[in-house]
Amino acid sequence: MTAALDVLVHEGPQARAYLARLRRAGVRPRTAVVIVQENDAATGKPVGRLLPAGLRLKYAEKRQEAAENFWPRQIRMQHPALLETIKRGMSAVCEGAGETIDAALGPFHYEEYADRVVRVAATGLADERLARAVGEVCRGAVLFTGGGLLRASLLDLPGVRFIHVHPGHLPFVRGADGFLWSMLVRGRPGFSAFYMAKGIDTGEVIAADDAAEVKFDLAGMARPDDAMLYRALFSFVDPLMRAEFLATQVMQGGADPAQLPAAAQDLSEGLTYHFLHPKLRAEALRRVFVS
Amino acid sequence: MDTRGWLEGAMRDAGTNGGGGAQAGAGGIATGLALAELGRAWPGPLTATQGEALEALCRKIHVAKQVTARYGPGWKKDAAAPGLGTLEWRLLVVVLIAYAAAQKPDSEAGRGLALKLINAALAALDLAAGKLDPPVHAALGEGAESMMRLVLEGANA
Repeated sequence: MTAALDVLVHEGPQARAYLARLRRAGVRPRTAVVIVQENDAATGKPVGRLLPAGLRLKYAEKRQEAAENFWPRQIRMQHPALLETIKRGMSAVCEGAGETIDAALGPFHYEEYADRVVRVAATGLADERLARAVGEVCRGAVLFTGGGLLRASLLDLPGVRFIHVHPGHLPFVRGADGFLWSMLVRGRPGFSAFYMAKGIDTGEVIAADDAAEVKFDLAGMARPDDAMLYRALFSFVDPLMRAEFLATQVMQGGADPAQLPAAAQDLSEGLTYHFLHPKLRAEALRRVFVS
Repeated sequence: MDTRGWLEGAMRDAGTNGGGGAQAGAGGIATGLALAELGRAWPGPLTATQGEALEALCRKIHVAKQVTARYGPGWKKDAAAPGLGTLEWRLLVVVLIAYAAAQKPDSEAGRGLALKLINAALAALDLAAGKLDPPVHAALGEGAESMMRLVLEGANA
């Protein structure tokens, strides 16, 4: 069933988890607008600048696909036991977790997940070409899948409302590293879906709730370092849980996702957190990945 | 950990202007003065302005990744402002740890704010490496980690 939902795709585990989980739920977005970064993420230089335009876009997309899915695939290759443990653990809280992870790790054809796919060469979310494309092809609810801060050029598009799933139970946990801050402060993850507005995590809330506790038992394996565990969290755990929340708390029921009841937040409540210092991050990761 | 003693020591050494020499322009903010005011107000409750100062300092540490001696109105960046001096850095870290210690770790809100401030203290110490005497830097680091463990153990109790 085609849903009244478009998706702004920032290539990577989050977009793939959303689309795979929505497909499992029988929800097919109308349009996927795939951002194709025309500059190399590491060097900032244009990719394939000697190629003709059509080939340049394809080449840029291939390089982007490899870069943005590098760490999930490295984890599959270098830490298979960790991945299996995550799959087992996630199966208890996310329907079809194993299949979603496998789909996201493989070649991913966006045409299988949305009625229409539009690719836009852009330098990032602030690129006016992206705003023009979204303005032309999207209407109603657009799912935001990451890639930075949404600018006014997109937020202010008439007839479009961006939906974001934040890894923190609003208003209690705002800002960065929401999943890990939730584990430290509240003892369990939490998620919120809201219509995006100016300001970080300030928009009207569609749904907000605590999630099931997740812990992954790493007994019997050499514990990967915190950098790798952090990557595993954001390659698999966080994306799947956000996708599960989207499928079960926002898109269930078939209502127009652009017109869902949503409540304004009391911005005096809760705290805005920043990225965790490595010492605190280590404490948070120990609560998720138990040795 | 003798939080009050640490705070009093850092404030005494920094003096009434918080260790800073930077003068703020009209409506501007001298970071040292703001820190001294926060030190005097410990353990709270804070006024809205003081709360904004603590929040702004956390933002400067984490987002701007620098803390300067002077800001424009509303903690806007002052491009000509010098960086913090040694005494200001010490006072900043001590203020953050002290306000973390002042929170109630058995409440979620208290635990959250305490950990947020400890997070800022740890990040500030990273920024202050080379600007503090090594023994002072090490002692402040131990203090921040000790406070972190206290808060986390309080959460688990």
